[in-house]
Amino acid sequence: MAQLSTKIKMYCTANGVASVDFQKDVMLQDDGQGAYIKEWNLGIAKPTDEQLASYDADADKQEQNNQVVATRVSLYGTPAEQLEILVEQGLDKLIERNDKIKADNPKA
Amino acid sequence: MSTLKVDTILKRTGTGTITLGQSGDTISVPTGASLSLQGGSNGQALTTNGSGTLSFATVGGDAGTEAFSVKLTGNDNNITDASWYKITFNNEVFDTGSNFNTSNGRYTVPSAGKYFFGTAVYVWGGNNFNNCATRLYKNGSSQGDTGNYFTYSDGNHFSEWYQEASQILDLAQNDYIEVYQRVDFASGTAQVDAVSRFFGFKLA
Repeated sequence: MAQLSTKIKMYCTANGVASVDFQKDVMLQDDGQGAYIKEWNLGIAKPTDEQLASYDADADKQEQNNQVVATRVSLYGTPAEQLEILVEQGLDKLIERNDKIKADNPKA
Repeated sequence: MSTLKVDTILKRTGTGTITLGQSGDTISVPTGASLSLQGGSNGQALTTNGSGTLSFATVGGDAGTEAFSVKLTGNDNNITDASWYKITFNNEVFDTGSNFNTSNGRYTVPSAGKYFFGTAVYVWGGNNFNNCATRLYKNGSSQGDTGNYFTYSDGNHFSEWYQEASQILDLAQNDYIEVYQRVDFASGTAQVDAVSRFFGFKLA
């Protein structure tokens, strides 16, 4: 099940709001039974549960892909580590290495 | 100097005030003698109302007698992204007044007064955090000035967060205090580590 925050971001994007500040625009709270919208301060209508549920699958996919990207970034290493590979083993070797990391960690 | 030896002193007629001495006098009870006053209860002391009337009262109330310290039985990985998430501390280290509820993570104030509360929260996950804060909530509302926010403004992420927050609160009986934690994580999950603590005691 996707995070409520992800579904809200998708709902906002679909309704013309490019970014959401969860410290001002929308305040979420979770008292132990799952997150809910505590405050809605955006100009667009607060989404219904049904509207949010409609984004569940896409939000799940986006979160999985975010995790994949995070894993790739971790495996690529720091810029310094990649620069060292570039200098010591050449550009082709670096591209080959990073392509393999990408292939091993495909997006959904 | 003369000595008055009697067993009982009563007012001459009916009931009322019996006056001992006058302004400037000292009325003393010598060493070895005891003064037996009726009334009051164990542990109480004589106090004045400032107008010459003494009465027995509990001095200091229950300050220092109310104290609790709680933790988690294990890591809590149910925290949700970008939400103020209540940490349900479910394991008591001690709870002298039995006023902490481990099923809802709530400390309920047994009597009005000033209380000190503190919390230490350790949250960790992947290298995916970009906002963290810890706050005390009173009766379901944030006591905002107990919060501590940490944000990387350059867009980088971090993977661990350890925060202490504390405050002295003037509370009424049955007010309740909880700890809320917020973590914004770009991906993956976050966990509230079992080393986290919540504690408090009555000051006055």
